[in-house]
Amino acid sequence: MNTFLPEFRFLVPLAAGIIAITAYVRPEIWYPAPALLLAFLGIYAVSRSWPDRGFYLVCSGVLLITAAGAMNLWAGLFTVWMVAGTVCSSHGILKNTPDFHSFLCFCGITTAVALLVKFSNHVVLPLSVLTAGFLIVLLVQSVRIYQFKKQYSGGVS
Amino acid sequence: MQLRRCTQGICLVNLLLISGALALDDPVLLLAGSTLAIAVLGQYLVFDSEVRKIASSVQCRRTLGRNMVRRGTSLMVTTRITLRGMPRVHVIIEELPPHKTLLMDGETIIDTVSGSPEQTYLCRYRIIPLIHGDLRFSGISLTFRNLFFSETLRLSRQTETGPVLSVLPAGLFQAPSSDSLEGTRDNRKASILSTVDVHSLREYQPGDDLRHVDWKISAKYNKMFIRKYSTPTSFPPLLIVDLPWCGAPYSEKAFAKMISEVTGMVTDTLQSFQHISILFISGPNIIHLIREEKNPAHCLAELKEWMHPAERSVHFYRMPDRNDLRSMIRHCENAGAQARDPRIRTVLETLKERYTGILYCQRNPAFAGQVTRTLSQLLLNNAYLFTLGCGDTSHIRHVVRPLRTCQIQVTVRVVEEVREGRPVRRDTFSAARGVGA
Repeated sequence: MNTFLPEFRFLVPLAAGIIAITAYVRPEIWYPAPALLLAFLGIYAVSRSWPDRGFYLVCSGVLLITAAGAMNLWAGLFTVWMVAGTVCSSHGILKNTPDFHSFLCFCGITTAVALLVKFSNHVVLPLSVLTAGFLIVLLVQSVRIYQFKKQYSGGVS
Repeated sequence: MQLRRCTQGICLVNLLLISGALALDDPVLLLAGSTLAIAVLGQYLVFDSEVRKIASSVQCRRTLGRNMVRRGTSLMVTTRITLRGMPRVHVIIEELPPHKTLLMDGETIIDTVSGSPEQTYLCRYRIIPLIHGDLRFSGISLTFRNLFFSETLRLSRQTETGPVLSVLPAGLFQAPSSDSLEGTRDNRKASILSTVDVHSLREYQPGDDLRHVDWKISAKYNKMFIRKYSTPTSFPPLLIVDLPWCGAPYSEKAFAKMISEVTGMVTDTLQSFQHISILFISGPNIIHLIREEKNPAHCLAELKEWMHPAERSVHFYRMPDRNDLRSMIRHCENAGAQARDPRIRTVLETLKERYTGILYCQRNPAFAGQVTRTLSQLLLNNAYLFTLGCGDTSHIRHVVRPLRTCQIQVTVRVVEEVREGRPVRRDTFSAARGVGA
Protein backbone atom coordinates (compact mmCIF):
# COMPACT_ATOMS: atom_id res chain seq x y z
CA MET A 1 0.00 0.00 0.00
CA ASN A 2 1.43 3.34 -1.02
CA THR A 3 1.01 5.73 1.91
CA PHE A 4 3.25 8.45 0.47
CA LEU A 5 0.74 11.15 -0.28
CA PRO A 6 1.50 13.71 -3.03
CA GLU A 7 1.61 16.59 -0.54
CA PHE A 8 4.50 14.90 1.26
CA ARG A 9 6.66 15.97 -1.71
CA PHE A 10 6.29 19.49 -0.35
CA LEU A 11 5.78 18.87 3.36
CA VAL A 12 9.02 16.98 3.88
CA PRO A 13 11.20 19.62 2.13
CA LEU A 14 9.30 22.32 4.00
CA ALA A 15 10.02 20.76 7.39
CA ALA A 16 13.63 20.05 6.47
CA GLY A 17 14.10 23.53 5.00
CA ILE A 18 12.64 25.37 7.99
CA ILE A 19 14.82 23.40 10.43
CA ALA A 20 17.89 23.88 8.26
CA ILE A 21 17.32 27.59 7.74
CA THR A 22 16.69 28.11 11.46
CA ALA A 23 19.88 26.25 12.25
CA TYR A 24 21.84 28.16 9.61
CA VAL A 25 20.58 31.65 10.35
CA ARG A 26 20.49 31.19 14.14
CA PRO A 27 18.20 34.07 14.92
CA GLU A 28 17.98 35.55 18.38
CA ILE A 29 14.47 34.20 18.84
CA TRP A 30 14.68 30.86 17.03
CA TYR A 31 11.47 29.09 18.06
CA PRO A 32 8.65 30.88 16.12
CA ALA A 33 9.36 29.21 12.77
CA PRO A 34 9.66 25.61 14.12
CA ALA A 35 6.60 26.20 16.34
CA LEU A 36 4.54 27.50 13.41
CA LEU A 37 5.80 24.60 11.30
CA LEU A 38 4.43 22.23 13.92
CA ALA A 39 1.16 24.20 13.93
CA PHE A 40 0.97 23.93 10.13
CA LEU A 41 1.65 20.21 10.24
CA GLY A 42 -0.89 19.76 13.03
CA ILE A 43 -3.59 21.64 11.10
CA TYR A 44 -2.72 19.65 8.01
CA ALA A 45 -3.22 16.41 9.94
CA VAL A 46 -6.34 17.49 11.80
CA SER A 47 -8.23 19.25 9.02
CA ARG A 48 -8.45 16.32 6.61
CA SER A 49 -12.21 16.02 6.95
CA TRP A 50 -12.99 19.69 7.60
CA PRO A 51 -14.91 21.74 5.11
CA ASP A 52 -12.96 24.71 3.69
CA ARG A 53 -9.70 22.99 4.54
CA GLY A 54 -7.83 25.33 2.22
CA PHE A 55 -8.65 28.31 4.39
CA TYR A 56 -7.18 26.73 7.54
CA LEU A 57 -4.06 25.59 5.71
CA VAL A 58 -3.59 29.04 4.15
CA CYS A 59 -4.04 30.79 7.51
CA SER A 60 -1.48 28.59 9.26
CA GLY A 61 0.80 28.69 6.20
CA VAL A 62 0.79 32.49 6.08
CA LEU A 63 1.98 32.66 9.68
CA LEU A 64 4.79 30.21 8.84
CA ILE A 65 5.73 32.29 5.76
CA THR A 66 5.88 35.44 7.89
CA ALA A 67 8.04 33.73 10.51
CA ALA A 68 10.38 32.28 7.88
CA GLY A 69 10.50 35.59 5.98
CA ALA A 70 11.43 37.38 9.19
CA MET A 71 14.57 35.24 9.31
CA ASN A 72 15.36 35.65 5.62
CA LEU A 73 13.31 36.84 2.66
CA TRP A 74 14.43 33.93 0.44
CA ALA A 75 13.52 31.53 3.23
CA GLY A 76 10.07 33.15 3.14
CA LEU A 77 9.92 32.63 -0.62
CA PHE A 78 10.90 28.98 -0.24
CA THR A 79 8.15 28.56 2.38
CA VAL A 80 5.65 30.20 0.00
CA TRP A 81 6.42 27.61 -2.66
CA MET A 82 6.23 24.68 -0.29
CA VAL A 83 3.04 25.84 1.42
CA ALA A 84 1.41 26.52 -1.95
CA GLY A 85 2.49 23.06 -3.17
CA THR A 86 1.10 21.43 -0.03
CA VAL A 87 -2.25 23.24 -0.28
CA CYS A 88 -2.59 22.45 -4.00
CA SER A 89 -1.59 18.81 -3.58
CA SER A 90 -3.94 18.29 -0.65
CA HIS A 91 -6.82 19.63 -2.78
CA GLY A 92 -5.89 17.54 -5.80
CA ILE A 93 -5.12 20.48 -8.04
CA LEU A 94 -1.51 19.52 -8.70
CA LYS A 95 -1.83 16.30 -10.64
CA ASN A 96 -1.31 16.84 -14.35
CA THR A 97 1.40 18.47 -16.40
CA PRO A 98 -0.63 21.67 -16.99
CA ASP A 99 -1.08 21.94 -13.23
CA PHE A 100 2.67 21.76 -12.72
CA HIS A 101 3.16 24.36 -15.43
CA SER A 102 0.78 26.65 -13.59
CA PHE A 103 2.63 25.99 -10.35
CA LEU A 104 5.97 26.78 -11.96
CA CYS A 105 4.48 29.95 -13.35
CA PHE A 106 3.33 30.86 -9.85
CA CYS A 107 6.85 30.20 -8.52
CA GLY A 108 8.33 32.46 -11.20
CA ILE A 109 5.93 35.32 -10.49
CA THR A 110 6.50 35.08 -6.72
CA THR A 111 10.24 35.14 -7.33
CA ALA A 112 9.81 38.35 -9.32
CA VAL A 113 7.72 39.79 -6.50
CA ALA A 114 10.37 38.75 -3.95
CA LEU A 115 13.03 40.47 -6.03
CA LEU A 116 10.88 43.58 -6.23
CA VAL A 117 10.36 43.56 -2.48
CA LYS A 118 14.04 42.88 -1.84
CA PHE A 119 15.30 45.78 -3.91
CA SER A 120 12.74 48.27 -2.61
CA ASN A 121 13.48 50.12 0.58
CA HIS A 122 9.83 50.57 1.51
CA VAL A 123 6.50 48.85 1.03
CA VAL A 124 4.73 51.63 -0.86
CA LEU A 125 6.54 51.33 -4.18
CA PRO A 126 6.27 47.53 -4.66
CA LEU A 127 2.70 47.65 -3.37
CA SER A 128 1.82 50.32 -5.95
CA VAL A 129 3.40 48.26 -8.72
CA LEU A 130 1.58 45.12 -7.64
CA THR A 131 -1.75 46.95 -7.28
CA ALA A 132 -1.38 48.46 -10.74
CA GLY A 133 -0.59 45.01 -12.16
CA PHE A 134 -3.62 43.50 -10.45
CA LEU A 135 -5.90 46.28 -11.68
CA ILE A 136 -4.73 45.84 -15.26
CA VAL A 137 -5.27 42.07 -15.12
CA LEU A 138 -8.74 42.52 -13.59
CA LEU A 139 -9.67 45.16 -16.16
CA VAL A 140 -8.66 42.95 -19.08
CA GLN A 141 -10.45 40.03 -17.48
CA SER A 142 -13.67 42.01 -16.98
CA VAL A 143 -13.70 42.95 -20.68
CA ARG A 144 -13.10 39.33 -21.65
CA ILE A 145 -15.92 38.15 -19.40
CA TYR A 146 -18.27 40.75 -20.86
CA GLN A 147 -17.51 39.56 -24.39
CA PHE A 148 -17.78 35.94 -23.35
CA LYS A 149 -21.20 36.37 -21.73
CA LYS A 150 -22.45 38.47 -24.61
CA GLN A 151 -21.47 35.77 -27.06
CA TYR A 152 -23.34 33.09 -25.15
CA SER A 153 -26.40 35.19 -24.44
CA GLY A 154 -27.19 35.47 -28.14
CA GLY A 155 -25.53 38.85 -28.79
CA VAL A 156 -22.62 39.47 -31.13
CA SER A 157 -19.26 39.76 -29.41
CA MET B 1 -18.07 35.21 -10.72
CA GLN B 2 -18.61 34.56 -7.05
CA LEU B 3 -16.06 33.77 -4.37
CA ARG B 4 -16.83 30.73 -2.29
CA ARG B 5 -16.56 30.85 1.50
CA CYS B 6 -12.99 29.54 1.58
CA THR B 7 -11.86 32.16 -0.94
CA GLN B 8 -13.66 34.93 0.91
CA GLY B 9 -11.70 33.99 4.05
CA ILE B 10 -8.41 33.91 2.14
CA CYS B 11 -9.14 37.35 0.64
CA LEU B 12 -9.83 38.70 4.12
CA VAL B 13 -6.49 37.34 5.37
CA ASN B 14 -4.82 38.86 2.32
CA LEU B 15 -6.37 42.24 3.08
CA LEU B 16 -5.14 42.06 6.67
CA LEU B 17 -1.62 41.19 5.53
CA ILE B 18 -1.46 44.04 3.00
CA SER B 19 -2.87 46.50 5.55
CA GLY B 20 -0.34 45.28 8.12
CA ALA B 21 2.48 45.61 5.59
CA LEU B 22 1.42 49.14 4.76
CA ALA B 23 1.01 50.13 8.40
CA LEU B 24 4.22 48.52 9.68
CA ASP B 25 6.23 49.03 6.48
CA ASP B 26 7.14 45.35 6.68
CA PRO B 27 8.30 43.74 3.39
CA VAL B 28 7.76 40.21 4.75
CA LEU B 29 4.06 40.83 5.27
CA LEU B 30 3.92 42.34 1.79
CA LEU B 31 5.53 39.21 0.35
CA ALA B 32 3.05 36.96 2.15
CA GLY B 33 0.06 39.10 1.15
CA SER B 34 1.08 39.57 -2.47
CA THR B 35 1.85 35.87 -3.00
CA LEU B 36 -1.54 35.03 -1.55
CA ALA B 37 -3.21 37.49 -3.93
CA ILE B 38 -1.26 36.07 -6.88
CA ALA B 39 -2.34 32.56 -5.92
CA VAL B 40 -6.02 33.57 -5.78
CA LEU B 41 -5.77 35.45 -9.09
CA GLY B 42 -3.99 32.51 -10.72
CA GLN B 43 -6.68 30.11 -9.55
CA TYR B 44 -9.32 32.43 -10.90
CA LEU B 45 -7.66 32.56 -14.33
CA VAL B 46 -7.41 28.76 -14.40
CA PHE B 47 -11.09 28.50 -13.41
CA ASP B 48 -12.09 31.00 -16.08
CA SER B 49 -10.18 29.07 -18.72
CA GLU B 50 -11.89 25.82 -17.72
CA VAL B 51 -15.31 27.49 -17.78
CA ARG B 52 -14.67 28.70 -21.32
CA LYS B 53 -13.61 25.24 -22.45
CA ILE B 54 -16.75 23.65 -21.00
CA ALA B 55 -19.06 26.35 -22.37
CA SER B 56 -17.61 25.99 -25.87
CA SER B 57 -18.30 22.25 -25.81
CA VAL B 58 -22.01 22.59 -24.92
CA GLN B 59 -24.49 21.33 -27.50
CA CYS B 60 -28.19 21.58 -26.82
CA ARG B 61 -30.94 19.87 -28.78
CA ARG B 62 -34.52 20.24 -27.66
CA THR B 63 -37.51 18.31 -29.00
CA LEU B 64 -41.14 19.01 -28.25
CA GLY B 65 -43.94 16.48 -27.99
CA ARG B 66 -45.94 18.68 -30.35
CA ASN B 67 -45.00 21.86 -32.14
CA MET B 68 -48.44 23.37 -31.65
CA VAL B 69 -50.41 23.12 -28.43
CA ARG B 70 -53.46 24.70 -26.94
CA ARG B 71 -53.13 26.99 -23.98
CA GLY B 72 -53.58 25.02 -20.76
CA THR B 73 -52.64 21.65 -22.22
CA SER B 74 -49.49 19.85 -21.15
CA LEU B 75 -46.53 19.36 -23.43
CA MET B 76 -43.60 16.99 -23.09
CA VAL B 77 -40.19 18.54 -23.66
CA THR B 78 -37.01 16.51 -24.08
CA THR B 79 -33.66 18.26 -24.03
CA ARG B 80 -30.34 16.59 -24.80
CA ILE B 81 -27.35 18.53 -23.54
CA THR B 82 -23.86 17.40 -24.44
CA LEU B 83 -20.81 18.87 -22.74
CA ARG B 84 -17.23 18.01 -21.98
CA GLY B 85 -16.47 17.98 -18.28
CA MET B 86 -13.26 19.26 -16.76
CA PRO B 87 -11.54 17.83 -13.70
CA ARG B 88 -12.27 19.68 -10.45
CA VAL B 89 -15.06 21.74 -12.04
CA HIS B 90 -18.53 20.71 -11.06
CA VAL B 91 -21.25 21.73 -13.52
CA ILE B 92 -24.98 21.95 -12.77
CA ILE B 93 -27.22 22.29 -15.80
CA GLU B 94 -30.58 23.93 -15.44
CA GLU B 95 -33.11 23.89 -18.24
CA LEU B 96 -35.07 27.13 -18.46
CA PRO B 97 -38.64 26.65 -19.75
CA PRO B 98 -40.35 29.54 -21.54
CA HIS B 99 -41.82 32.35 -19.50
CA LYS B 100 -45.49 32.08 -18.52
CA THR B 101 -45.43 28.31 -18.44
CA LEU B 102 -46.09 26.02 -15.53
CA LEU B 103 -43.76 23.11 -14.84
CA MET B 104 -45.94 20.04 -14.27
CA ASP B 105 -43.47 17.27 -13.60
CA GLY B 106 -40.02 16.08 -14.57
CA GLU B 107 -36.56 17.35 -13.76
CA THR B 108 -35.08 20.53 -15.12
CA ILE B 109 -31.84 20.42 -13.11
CA ILE B 110 -29.06 17.97 -13.93
CA ASP B 111 -26.05 17.37 -11.73
CA THR B 112 -23.16 16.39 -14.01
CA VAL B 113 -20.16 14.24 -13.26
CA SER B 114 -17.03 16.37 -13.07
CA GLY B 115 -14.05 15.35 -15.11
CA SER B 116 -16.01 13.04 -17.40
CA PRO B 117 -15.26 13.17 -21.11
CA GLU B 118 -17.92 14.35 -23.54
CA GLN B 119 -21.21 13.10 -22.15
CA THR B 120 -24.89 13.59 -23.04
CA TYR B 121 -27.43 14.40 -20.37
CA LEU B 122 -31.15 14.00 -20.87
CA CYS B 123 -33.75 16.26 -19.36
CA ARG B 124 -37.46 15.40 -19.69
CA TYR B 125 -40.26 17.42 -18.26
CA ARG B 126 -43.81 18.57 -18.96
CA ILE B 127 -45.00 22.14 -19.08
CA ILE B 128 -48.36 23.85 -19.37
CA PRO B 129 -48.39 27.12 -21.36
CA LEU B 130 -50.45 29.76 -19.61
CA ILE B 131 -50.62 32.28 -22.45
CA HIS B 132 -51.07 31.89 -26.16
CA GLY B 133 -48.68 33.03 -28.87
CA ASP B 134 -45.22 32.03 -30.00
CA LEU B 135 -43.05 31.18 -27.01
CA ARG B 136 -39.30 30.75 -27.09
CA PHE B 137 -37.43 28.79 -24.46
CA SER B 138 -35.28 30.88 -22.14
CA GLY B 139 -32.21 28.72 -22.80
CA ILE B 140 -30.11 26.78 -20.34
CA SER B 141 -28.20 27.90 -17.30
CA LEU B 142 -24.85 26.39 -16.36
CA THR B 143 -23.46 26.75 -12.86
CA PHE B 144 -19.72 26.02 -12.59
CA ARG B 145 -18.10 25.37 -9.24
CA ASN B 146 -14.66 24.49 -8.07
CA LEU B 147 -13.06 24.72 -4.63
CA PHE B 148 -12.66 28.46 -4.72
CA PHE B 149 -15.09 30.01 -7.21
CA SER B 150 -18.54 29.61 -8.68
CA GLU B 151 -19.92 31.09 -11.86
CA THR B 152 -23.34 31.02 -13.51
CA LEU B 153 -23.57 31.32 -17.26
CA ARG B 154 -26.86 31.60 -19.10
CA LEU B 155 -26.79 30.25 -22.63
CA SER B 156 -29.56 31.84 -24.66
CA ARG B 157 -28.33 31.64 -28.21
CA GLN B 158 -30.69 30.58 -30.97
CA THR B 159 -29.62 26.94 -30.62
CA GLU B 160 -30.44 26.95 -26.91
CA THR B 161 -33.75 28.84 -27.14
CA GLY B 162 -35.27 26.91 -30.02
CA PRO B 163 -37.61 25.54 -31.19
CA VAL B 164 -40.44 28.04 -31.03
CA LEU B 165 -43.50 26.72 -29.26
CA SER B 166 -46.77 27.83 -30.85
CA VAL B 167 -49.50 28.04 -28.26
CA LEU B 168 -53.02 28.37 -29.58
CA PRO B 169 -55.77 30.01 -27.60
CA ALA B 170 -58.19 27.75 -25.75
CA GLY B 171 -61.96 27.98 -25.53
CA LEU B 172 -63.50 29.09 -22.29
CA PHE B 173 -65.55 26.29 -20.88
CA GLN B 174 -65.74 27.19 -17.21
CA ALA B 175 -69.07 27.03 -15.48
CA PRO B 176 -70.84 30.38 -15.57
CA SER B 177 -70.91 32.42 -12.40
CA SER B 178 -74.06 34.00 -13.63
CA ASP B 179 -76.66 35.71 -11.61
CA SER B 180 -79.24 34.09 -13.81
CA LEU B 181 -81.93 32.03 -12.19
CA GLU B 182 -84.39 29.64 -13.73
CA GLY B 183 -83.68 30.94 -17.22
CA THR B 184 -84.81 34.48 -16.49
CA ARG B 185 -83.02 37.63 -15.56
CA ASP B 186 -84.16 40.77 -13.83
CA ASN B 187 -83.19 44.23 -14.84
CA ARG B 188 -82.24 45.85 -11.53
CA LYS B 189 -81.28 49.20 -12.93
CA ALA B 190 -83.05 52.23 -11.52
CA SER B 191 -85.99 52.81 -13.76
CA ILE B 192 -88.95 55.13 -13.81
CA LEU B 193 -90.98 52.20 -15.01
CA SER B 194 -91.45 50.01 -11.94
CA THR B 195 -93.66 47.02 -12.37
CA VAL B 196 -95.51 45.03 -9.80
CA ASP B 197 -92.78 42.36 -9.73
CA VAL B 198 -91.03 42.54 -6.37
CA HIS B 199 -87.46 41.36 -6.57
CA SER B 200 -86.65 41.46 -2.86
CA LEU B 201 -87.23 43.23 0.42
CA ARG B 202 -84.69 45.01 2.55
CA GLU B 203 -84.66 47.19 5.62
CA TYR B 204 -85.34 50.87 5.22
CA GLN B 205 -82.34 53.13 4.95
CA PRO B 206 -82.42 56.95 5.22
CA GLY B 207 -83.06 58.40 1.78
CA ASP B 208 -85.27 55.56 0.51
CA ASP B 209 -88.53 56.46 -1.20
CA LEU B 210 -91.32 56.06 1.33
CA ARG B 211 -93.70 55.09 -1.46
CA HIS B 212 -91.79 51.78 -1.75
CA VAL B 213 -92.35 50.80 1.88
CA ASP B 214 -94.09 47.45 2.28
CA TRP B 215 -96.41 48.41 5.10
CA LYS B 216 -97.76 44.96 5.69
CA ILE B 217 -94.34 43.36 6.22
CA SER B 218 -93.20 46.40 8.21
CA ALA B 219 -96.15 46.07 10.56
CA LYS B 220 -95.52 42.36 10.95
CA TYR B 221 -91.86 42.71 11.94
CA ASN B 222 -92.14 46.15 13.53
CA LYS B 223 -89.42 47.43 11.17
CA MET B 224 -89.57 49.47 7.99
CA PHE B 225 -89.07 47.27 4.87
CA ILE B 226 -88.55 48.59 1.34
CA ARG B 227 -89.67 46.74 -1.77
CA LYS B 228 -87.14 46.28 -4.55
CA TYR B 229 -88.86 46.15 -7.93
CA SER B 230 -87.65 44.49 -11.04
CA THR B 231 -88.62 44.53 -14.68
CA PRO B 232 -88.25 41.66 -17.13
CA THR B 233 -85.87 42.27 -19.96
CA SER B 234 -84.97 40.64 -23.26
CA PHE B 235 -81.55 39.18 -23.85
CA PRO B 236 -78.98 40.68 -26.18
CA PRO B 237 -78.07 38.66 -29.25
CA LEU B 238 -74.94 36.53 -29.35
CA LEU B 239 -72.43 37.44 -32.03
CA ILE B 240 -70.43 34.56 -33.45
CA VAL B 241 -67.50 35.60 -35.59
CA ASP B 242 -65.98 32.91 -37.80
CA LEU B 243 -62.41 34.09 -38.38
CA PRO B 244 -60.66 32.99 -41.57
CA TRP B 245 -57.74 30.59 -41.44
CA CYS B 246 -54.40 32.34 -41.71
CA GLY B 247 -53.02 29.40 -43.69
CA ALA B 248 -55.37 29.88 -46.65
CA PRO B 249 -56.08 32.83 -48.92
CA TYR B 250 -59.06 34.99 -48.08
CA SER B 251 -60.49 38.26 -49.31
CA GLU B 252 -59.04 41.09 -47.22
CA LYS B 253 -61.71 43.50 -48.40
CA ALA B 254 -64.46 41.13 -47.34
CA PHE B 255 -62.74 40.64 -43.98
CA ALA B 256 -62.49 44.42 -43.49
CA LYS B 257 -66.17 44.66 -44.30
CA MET B 258 -66.92 41.93 -41.79
CA ILE B 259 -64.94 43.81 -39.11
CA SER B 260 -66.90 47.00 -39.73
CA GLU B 261 -70.21 45.12 -39.65
CA VAL B 262 -69.35 43.35 -36.41
CA THR B 263 -68.19 46.62 -34.84
CA GLY B 264 -71.41 48.35 -35.85
CA MET B 265 -73.49 45.49 -34.50
CA VAL B 266 -71.57 45.54 -31.21
CA THR B 267 -72.09 49.28 -30.82
CA ASP B 268 -75.82 49.00 -31.55
CA THR B 269 -76.28 46.11 -29.16
CA LEU B 270 -74.37 47.79 -26.36
CA GLN B 271 -76.54 50.87 -26.69
CA SER B 272 -79.68 48.78 -26.55
CA PHE B 273 -78.86 46.06 -24.03
CA GLN B 274 -75.91 47.47 -22.07
CA HIS B 275 -73.95 44.24 -22.52
CA ILE B 276 -72.99 41.83 -25.27
CA SER B 277 -71.42 38.40 -25.73
CA ILE B 278 -69.18 37.60 -28.67
CA LEU B 279 -67.85 34.16 -29.56
CA PHE B 280 -64.82 33.97 -31.83
CA ILE B 281 -64.34 30.76 -33.74
CA SER B 282 -62.06 29.84 -36.57
CA GLY B 283 -63.36 26.76 -38.33
CA PRO B 284 -63.98 24.05 -35.72
CA ASN B 285 -61.81 25.87 -33.13
CA ILE B 286 -63.15 28.06 -30.36
CA ILE B 287 -60.78 30.99 -30.10
CA HIS B 288 -62.22 33.32 -27.48
CA LEU B 289 -65.44 34.22 -25.72
CA ILE B 290 -66.29 37.74 -24.59
CA ARG B 291 -68.99 37.11 -22.04
CA GLU B 292 -71.48 39.84 -21.19
CA GLU B 293 -69.08 42.72 -21.68
CA LYS B 294 -70.54 46.04 -20.58
CA ASN B 295 -67.72 48.45 -21.25
CA PRO B 296 -67.81 49.64 -24.91
CA ALA B 297 -64.15 50.69 -24.92
CA HIS B 298 -63.05 47.36 -23.51
CA CYS B 299 -65.30 45.54 -25.94
CA LEU B 300 -63.82 47.37 -28.93
CA ALA B 301 -60.31 46.75 -27.63
CA GLU B 302 -61.08 43.04 -27.43
CA LEU B 303 -62.45 43.13 -30.96
CA LYS B 304 -59.25 44.78 -32.13
CA GLU B 305 -57.20 42.12 -30.39
CA TRP B 306 -59.06 39.09 -31.67
CA MET B 307 -60.40 40.09 -35.09
CA HIS B 308 -57.66 38.77 -37.27
CA PRO B 309 -57.10 35.51 -39.19
CA ALA B 310 -56.37 32.73 -36.74
CA GLU B 311 -54.44 29.50 -36.74
CA ARG B 312 -56.59 26.36 -36.89
CA SER B 313 -55.34 23.33 -35.04
CA VAL B 314 -58.39 21.30 -36.06
CA HIS B 315 -59.89 21.04 -39.55
CA PHE B 316 -63.10 19.33 -40.56
CA TYR B 317 -62.22 18.73 -44.20
CA ARG B 318 -65.83 19.28 -45.26
CA MET B 319 -67.15 16.81 -42.73
CA PRO B 320 -70.93 16.48 -42.99
CA ASP B 321 -73.13 16.81 -39.95
CA ARG B 322 -74.36 13.50 -38.52
CA ASN B 323 -77.97 14.70 -38.49
CA ASP B 324 -77.70 15.64 -42.15
CA LEU B 325 -76.34 12.21 -42.93
CA ARG B 326 -79.23 10.56 -41.10
CA SER B 327 -81.75 12.67 -42.98
CA MET B 328 -80.02 11.79 -46.26
CA ILE B 329 -80.25 8.10 -45.40
CA ARG B 330 -83.94 8.47 -44.58
CA HIS B 331 -84.45 10.36 -47.83
CA CYS B 332 -82.73 7.59 -49.81
CA GLU B 333 -84.86 4.97 -48.07
CA ASN B 334 -88.09 6.83 -48.86
CA ALA B 335 -87.08 7.56 -52.45
CA GLY B 336 -85.95 3.95 -52.95
CA ALA B 337 -89.28 2.66 -51.67
CA GLN B 338 -91.17 4.86 -54.11
CA ALA B 339 -88.90 4.31 -57.13
CA ARG B 340 -90.08 1.84 -59.73
CA ASP B 341 -87.03 1.78 -61.95
CA PRO B 342 -84.61 -0.88 -60.57
CA ARG B 343 -81.57 1.14 -61.73
CA ILE B 344 -82.68 4.13 -59.66
CA ARG B 345 -83.28 1.84 -56.69
CA THR B 346 -79.77 0.43 -57.08
CA VAL B 347 -78.28 3.92 -57.18
CA LEU B 348 -80.25 4.94 -54.09
CA GLU B 349 -79.21 1.76 -52.28
CA THR B 350 -75.58 2.48 -53.10
CA LEU B 351 -75.96 6.05 -51.87
CA LYS B 352 -77.58 4.84 -48.66
CA GLU B 353 -74.74 2.38 -48.07
CA ARG B 354 -72.18 5.13 -48.60
CA TYR B 355 -73.96 7.47 -46.21
CA THR B 356 -74.35 4.71 -43.63
CA GLY B 357 -70.67 3.87 -43.95
CA ILE B 358 -69.70 7.50 -43.39
CA LEU B 359 -72.10 7.76 -40.44
CA TYR B 360 -70.68 4.60 -38.92
CA CYS B 361 -67.07 5.79 -39.20
CA GLN B 362 -67.66 9.39 -38.26
CA ARG B 363 -67.64 10.24 -34.56
CA ASN B 364 -69.34 13.19 -33.02
CA PRO B 365 -66.74 15.99 -33.17
CA ALA B 366 -65.41 17.57 -29.98
CA PHE B 367 -66.21 20.96 -31.45
CA ALA B 368 -69.96 20.35 -31.16
CA GLY B 369 -69.57 19.62 -27.44
CA GLN B 370 -67.40 22.68 -26.96
CA VAL B 371 -69.99 24.88 -28.66
CA THR B 372 -72.78 23.45 -26.52
CA ARG B 373 -70.81 23.96 -23.31
CA THR B 374 -69.87 27.51 -24.26
CA LEU B 375 -73.40 28.45 -25.26
CA SER B 376 -74.85 26.97 -22.08
CA GLN B 377 -73.25 29.84 -20.17
CA LEU B 378 -75.30 32.43 -22.02
CA LEU B 379 -78.91 33.48 -22.02
CA LEU B 380 -80.02 34.54 -25.46
CA ASN B 381 -82.85 34.54 -27.96
CA ASN B 382 -80.97 35.51 -31.12
CA ALA B 383 -77.58 34.75 -32.54
CA TYR B 384 -75.78 36.22 -35.53
CA LEU B 385 -72.99 34.33 -37.21
CA PHE B 386 -70.56 36.29 -39.36
CA THR B 387 -68.43 34.35 -41.78
CA LEU B 388 -66.51 34.94 -44.98
CA GLY B 389 -67.76 31.61 -46.31
CA CYS B 390 -64.39 30.80 -47.84
CA GLY B 391 -62.84 27.36 -47.68
CA ASP B 392 -64.45 24.66 -45.61
CA THR B 393 -67.72 25.82 -44.05
CA SER B 394 -68.91 22.49 -42.67
CA HIS B 395 -68.30 23.69 -39.10
CA ILE B 396 -71.11 26.26 -39.45
CA ARG B 397 -73.67 23.46 -39.32
CA HIS B 398 -72.17 22.34 -36.01
CA VAL B 399 -72.65 25.84 -34.59
CA VAL B 400 -76.09 26.49 -35.96
CA ARG B 401 -77.65 23.16 -35.03
CA PRO B 402 -77.24 23.34 -31.21
CA LEU B 403 -78.49 26.93 -31.26
CA ARG B 404 -81.59 26.01 -33.22
CA THR B 405 -82.16 23.04 -30.91
CA CYS B 406 -82.37 25.55 -28.05
CA GLN B 407 -85.02 27.53 -29.96
CA ILE B 408 -82.56 30.32 -30.66
CA GLN B 409 -83.04 32.18 -33.90
CA VAL B 410 -79.79 32.10 -35.86
CA THR B 411 -78.94 34.39 -38.75
CA VAL B 412 -75.90 33.48 -40.81
CA ARG B 413 -74.28 36.43 -42.52
CA VAL B 414 -71.85 35.50 -45.28
CA VAL B 415 -69.82 38.64 -45.91
CA GLU B 416 -68.69 38.92 -49.48
CA GLU B 417 -66.49 41.37 -51.29
CA VAL B 418 -68.48 43.90 -53.37
CA ARG B 419 -67.32 43.66 -56.97
CA GLU B 420 -67.86 46.18 -59.72
CA GLY B 421 -70.67 45.36 -62.14
CA ARG B 422 -72.28 43.03 -59.66
CA PRO B 423 -75.42 44.06 -57.82
CA VAL B 424 -75.06 44.37 -54.07
CA ARG B 425 -76.94 41.54 -52.43
CA ARG B 426 -79.25 42.74 -49.71
CA ASP B 427 -79.65 40.06 -47.12
CA THR B 428 -82.18 39.68 -44.39
CA PHE B 429 -79.51 40.27 -41.81
CA SER B 430 -79.01 43.91 -42.76
CA ALA B 431 -82.62 44.56 -41.95
CA ALA B 432 -82.29 42.74 -38.68
CA ARG B 433 -79.38 44.84 -37.44
CA GLY B 434 -81.64 47.06 -35.48
CA VAL B 435 -82.88 44.11 -33.47
CA GLY B 436 -81.99 45.66 -30.18
CA ALA B 437 -83.71 48.93 -30.84
